[in-house]
Amino acid sequence: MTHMTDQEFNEEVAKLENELAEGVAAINAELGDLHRQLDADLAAADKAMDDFATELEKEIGENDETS
Amino acid sequence: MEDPRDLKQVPLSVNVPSGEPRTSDNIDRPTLGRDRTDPEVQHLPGNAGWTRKVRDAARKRGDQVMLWATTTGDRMNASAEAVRAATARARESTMTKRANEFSRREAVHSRELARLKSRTGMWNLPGIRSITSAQIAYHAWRERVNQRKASRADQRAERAGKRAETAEEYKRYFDTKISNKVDRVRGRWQEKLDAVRKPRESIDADIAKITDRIAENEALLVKIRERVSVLENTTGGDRAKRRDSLRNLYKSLAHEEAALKEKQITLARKQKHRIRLAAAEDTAEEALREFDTRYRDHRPSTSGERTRATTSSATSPDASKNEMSWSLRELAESKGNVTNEQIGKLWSSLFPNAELDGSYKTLTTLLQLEYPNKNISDAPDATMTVKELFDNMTELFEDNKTFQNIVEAATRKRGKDALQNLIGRMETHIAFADSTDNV
Repeated sequence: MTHMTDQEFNEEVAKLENELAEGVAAINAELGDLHRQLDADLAAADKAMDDFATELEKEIGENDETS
Repeated sequence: MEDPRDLKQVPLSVNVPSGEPRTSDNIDRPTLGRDRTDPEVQHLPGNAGWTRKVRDAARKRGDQVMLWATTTGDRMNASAEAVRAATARARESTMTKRANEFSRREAVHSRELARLKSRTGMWNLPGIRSITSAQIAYHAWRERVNQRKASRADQRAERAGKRAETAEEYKRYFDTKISNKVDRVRGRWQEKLDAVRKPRESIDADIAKITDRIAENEALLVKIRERVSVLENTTGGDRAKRRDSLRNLYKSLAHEEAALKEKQITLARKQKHRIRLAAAEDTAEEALREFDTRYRDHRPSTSGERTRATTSSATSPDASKNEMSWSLRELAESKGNVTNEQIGKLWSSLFPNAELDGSYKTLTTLLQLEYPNKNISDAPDATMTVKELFDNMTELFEDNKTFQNIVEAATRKRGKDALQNLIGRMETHIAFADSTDNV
């Protein structure tokens, strides 16, 4: 058991709260940027795949109406 | 020369007195059995020398000479007459034979002349009156015929050469069109696939960074929780206040831990998204690889940079090509309309693996869809000329919509299956170009 005065205790708690808040905030900020980038990339990939499928679809047959 | 046998009898008449009949009793044969060259016999009757003497004496005795001469002359005349008669008979026989032979030859020549005249078409020509002139004319005619034959052979060879050139042109045309089309389609697919690939690395990098940040976040929470545990075990001071402080800290920790879980869930969701994209991309890449393999195997030979491999098609490609070559050759050589059978063979060799029934009706139906203004299906029996057919076939390969119709009518599927069928149809198009090699 470690003996600690109230002041020391309060300082340590405040320190932990700051570290938690600042650390998480920094990580969140980075994650926010990364997710935005990831979302944009996924959207681009989705669109490219859609385009590929559309191209394929177009080549295979525009529709059934003429068949 | 007088025959001694005749002369031998002359003295018999000479020795008989004039007016007296000859008998065997008064016949004198003094030279019989004797040597006539003997001088003793020279003067005897029956000898040549005696004959001359007798003739000389008889010349002096006119009546005897006349008698001898008359007798001999009668004999000679009789003989000559017999000879003349025999000769005349022989001559008559020979002449008859010759006449018959002449008639026969004349008939033969007449027939030959008639044949030559008829063959050369020279009836009523004033110069053709004999076999010789007819033969001369015949040989001239034969030479002209031979020249015309040679000329026609040259013309046929020239036409065959032109047909071969035309077939080669068609082949090059189809090769180019098909090659361009395949390249175009393949290029578009590759372009789209590259567009899918492009954000993939960025996505992977983003996910890796997010994973690192989340791990960092988790480590931070673990570290803070451990330090909170240490504070919880401290002694001294106001314990109630300390519990309140720690409770708030735990709340913050719990809040961040919940937020962390959300972050992990979000990341997992996006990772799943990435996996789906990767699967789709793999499928597309696999299909394109398969397409490339088949496309390379069936590449038309005119593209020198690519090698053609033997196909392992279910149907015999050689038989199909031969059939196709036959059909094309027959069509190319036919001047008039195309028969139902010809179109059927062409169609079945064009699409040997097609699910369609390969009939003329199917082909004309497809063509009719594309050319509604043309009266194709209403008159399926040999109403389409070769040129029209080739024009239609050319447009068939050029026109994407018809191609789609064929594919769609044959499959009615989407996605990868459709891609496989599309590849199959591409193969038939390319095989068509290949099949013109032998035309």
